[in-house]
Amino acid sequence: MATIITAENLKQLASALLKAGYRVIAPAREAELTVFKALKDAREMLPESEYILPQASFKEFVFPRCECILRYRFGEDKLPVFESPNLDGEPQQAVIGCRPCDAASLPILDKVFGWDYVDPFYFKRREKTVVLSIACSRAGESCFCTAVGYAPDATAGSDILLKKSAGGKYVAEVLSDKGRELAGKFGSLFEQVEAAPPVEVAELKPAFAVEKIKPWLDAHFEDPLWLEIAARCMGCGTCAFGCPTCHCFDIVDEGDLSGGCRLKNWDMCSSALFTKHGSGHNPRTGQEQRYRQRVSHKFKYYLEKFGLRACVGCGRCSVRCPVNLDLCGVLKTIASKQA
Amino acid sequence: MAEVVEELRALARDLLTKGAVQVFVGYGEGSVPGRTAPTIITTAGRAGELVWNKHCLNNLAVYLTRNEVTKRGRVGLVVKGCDARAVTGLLQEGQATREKVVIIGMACDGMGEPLLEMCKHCDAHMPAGPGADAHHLACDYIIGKATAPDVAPEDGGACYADVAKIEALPPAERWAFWQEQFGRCVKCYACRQVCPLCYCKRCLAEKNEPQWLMSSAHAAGNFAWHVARAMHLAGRCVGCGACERACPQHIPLSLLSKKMAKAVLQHFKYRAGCDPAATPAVKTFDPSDKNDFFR
Repeated sequence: MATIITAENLKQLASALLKAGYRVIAPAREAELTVFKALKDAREMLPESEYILPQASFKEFVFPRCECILRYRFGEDKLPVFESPNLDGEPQQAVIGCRPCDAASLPILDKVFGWDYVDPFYFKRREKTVVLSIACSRAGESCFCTAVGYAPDATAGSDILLKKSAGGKYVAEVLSDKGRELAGKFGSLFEQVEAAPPVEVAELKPAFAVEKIKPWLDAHFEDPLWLEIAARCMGCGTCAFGCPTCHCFDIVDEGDLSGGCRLKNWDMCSSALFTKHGSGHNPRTGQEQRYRQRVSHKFKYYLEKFGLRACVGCGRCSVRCPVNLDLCGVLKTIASKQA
Repeated sequence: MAEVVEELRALARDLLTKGAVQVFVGYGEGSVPGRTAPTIITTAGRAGELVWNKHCLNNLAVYLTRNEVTKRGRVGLVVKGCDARAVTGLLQEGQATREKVVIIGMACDGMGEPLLEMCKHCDAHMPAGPGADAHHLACDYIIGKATAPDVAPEDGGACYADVAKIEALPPAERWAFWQEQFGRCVKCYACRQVCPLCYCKRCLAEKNEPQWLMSSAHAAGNFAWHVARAMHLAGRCVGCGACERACPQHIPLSLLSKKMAKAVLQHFKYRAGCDPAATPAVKTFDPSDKNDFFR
């Protein structure tokens, strides 16, 4: 037995979810960009053949770029009154048409946001999110998912994975309870067939041997390679902000004499200010040290702490980088070296 | 093109070998077709990595503001005619020392496939070489010969056609236009980081005692950032377009900088970076200025 959904019914599903009060997040066009967008109308959803990857991941819908985490005002006695934003009213969310790499970022983010302190802002949204990904039938020129342990049809993080078949149909692999619930609730849009038709999945040869990365990083905290690679890094956050797994944030207060807001804003390790201490001391003085941190966090520290690498191989960092600092190329170079 | 590339590589090899420069900044192959990557080499053996083609978009003058590059010694820097204006700006503002940079000017018929819009209005296809008069930045070496003809400076105003379109909108529509554009900003600061003239060690956007600008990527914070940035670059922006190309959110940043350039030209008869002998608009002080607050 196999479950099938047609491209038309996928659109119907988006429409039905919108009617049911879901926030439906899908690739759509905005100012010539392909982005993940909370749809107003299911017709905005791009056909899967028109994109490989939106320009940034959908992490903004579980980890907004700017979010109020505490409100305060000064009462009549001039003492502050605190209020926590209530996230219970957040709608159910369905991500439709993301790629397996983006879906795979969720289990990675779960680790850091749920490690000792369970971040309610992340998990309130995460728990209400169901993910329907579509396996890639072609790979982008900067993709390297297979090198970091994923695949064009990887299942991590997806509740339902769709694989393209002939005649505008997708074979649906239901992977979780959330997926089963969704497929059950909107069962009329899915079709059951006896045998699964053949599916198209992109082939992508791994660009490097990922098991060689950590041993080299373990032994080369100080290495001339860092400067060689990273002297050209501009120190902006375009890689981190497009990245499905980058999760650093900064806390700032904004307010006036009557009250204000404490905000959680995306931050980036590529910025010189990121590690600057109150004393004025900065342990990371050069761009090469900041770039080393970015690579080491993803391929060493995260792996040591959580057993997962903080990279899904989507290649957005390379695509978006204004100086074409290509992470895949850097990892290839590292993998070619003797630890 | 092939001869130009060979000439460039030979020059880089020669400069690095004889120690005339310790670090050479040019373009190398990008990770995908249609892109190049700024390439920083310190040994003659790597000169073969340098390329020159239609995709050398980056303004490499920004590396003159980076300690990671300048700490290695004298810099060999590849510039196009437009990029040379940023070098002039940095020299005028005391951010670079002429003796510490060997400038290699590349003849350029325009970049991008299709040709970038800004290249259609170019009046700097050929950078000035050694022996140029005081009104031009004299590169130390010139490679190649441009065939594309220069247009009149400012293209007789044609280069401001897109700015004029926005200016013509009623205020409410203009406001809505920018709200929509800035609404996409995520505050990655790629615009600032790639800008050769945005060299402050501590940007006002990062000052928090007192906080000058809201650092959050919300409507107010984004508006404050982009307006402050445009004002800080007024009369200084050389129009290389690096900010707009770097923006992952496709915000039309050059509209803002061009609007400022247009105003500075109109009121001060000044074009940033074009004439090393001219006094930059932001460096002038005139007791007869029509504004009171100056006196």
